[in-house]
Amino acid sequence: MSAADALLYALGGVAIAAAIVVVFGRNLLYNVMAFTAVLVASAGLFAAMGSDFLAIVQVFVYVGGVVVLMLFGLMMTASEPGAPVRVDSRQSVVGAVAAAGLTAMLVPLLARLFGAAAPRAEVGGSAAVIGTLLITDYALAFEATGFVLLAAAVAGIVIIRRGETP
Amino acid sequence: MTVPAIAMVLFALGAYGVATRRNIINVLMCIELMMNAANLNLVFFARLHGAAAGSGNVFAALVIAVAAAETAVGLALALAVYRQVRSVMTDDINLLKG
Repeated sequence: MSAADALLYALGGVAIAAAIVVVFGRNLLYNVMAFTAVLVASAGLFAAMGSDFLAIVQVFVYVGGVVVLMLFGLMMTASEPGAPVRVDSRQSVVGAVAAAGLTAMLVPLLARLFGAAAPRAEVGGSAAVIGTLLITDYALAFEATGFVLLAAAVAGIVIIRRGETP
Repeated sequence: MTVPAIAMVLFALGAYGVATRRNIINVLMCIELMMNAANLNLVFFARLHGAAAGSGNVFAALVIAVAAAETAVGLALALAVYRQVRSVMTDDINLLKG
């Protein structure tokens, strides 16, 4: 096993261990922290695969934005201020069957996509490549994503304000 | 094959969490976990196909943007629900009209 593979395994191990905490943890705050660890480990995986730009974006958007939003949500929906928010699971057998079924459907697809080819050394992950693609081949998708973000921001405000008692 | 295997495990855990967790915020986290697994596969795909397919990276960047939008709306919905029923447990949300 090469050093690069060892790095991938190590980061993947961290991500999976933290994801287990997210899914099975009992304290919501710790779950959010473990979620942060998954995201940081994934950023490391992106970097290890040569996508430095995505690694940075992952840290900015997820760790800087999404996790903070999660923490705000946790804070504002806590039933009693200051006390740890306990979370639990229901229907674990049905959930396990559903998750296993969904994953089993994906395995042949992934095996067909990734099974034969070996990774190449050269990588199109730098900011220059992504930026060029975003304003040429994927300009429409880029604009549409911007519109989705705008719509989401407006929708978030509308949904929050509607229930407010004046 | 390392990264797709890791992504598959993350995806399975996320799917299990979406199905079983009771707290909406935790469910949202599990959805993000699944999207993250998809992103890992997209980036691995880009790496597999070299410089010609920077598309994988572009897709992953777009998915990250959409995931951020989804979290914003999802948390707004969670707060709106909390205001109505004073709870964010999925099985407490059992009214068709608030």
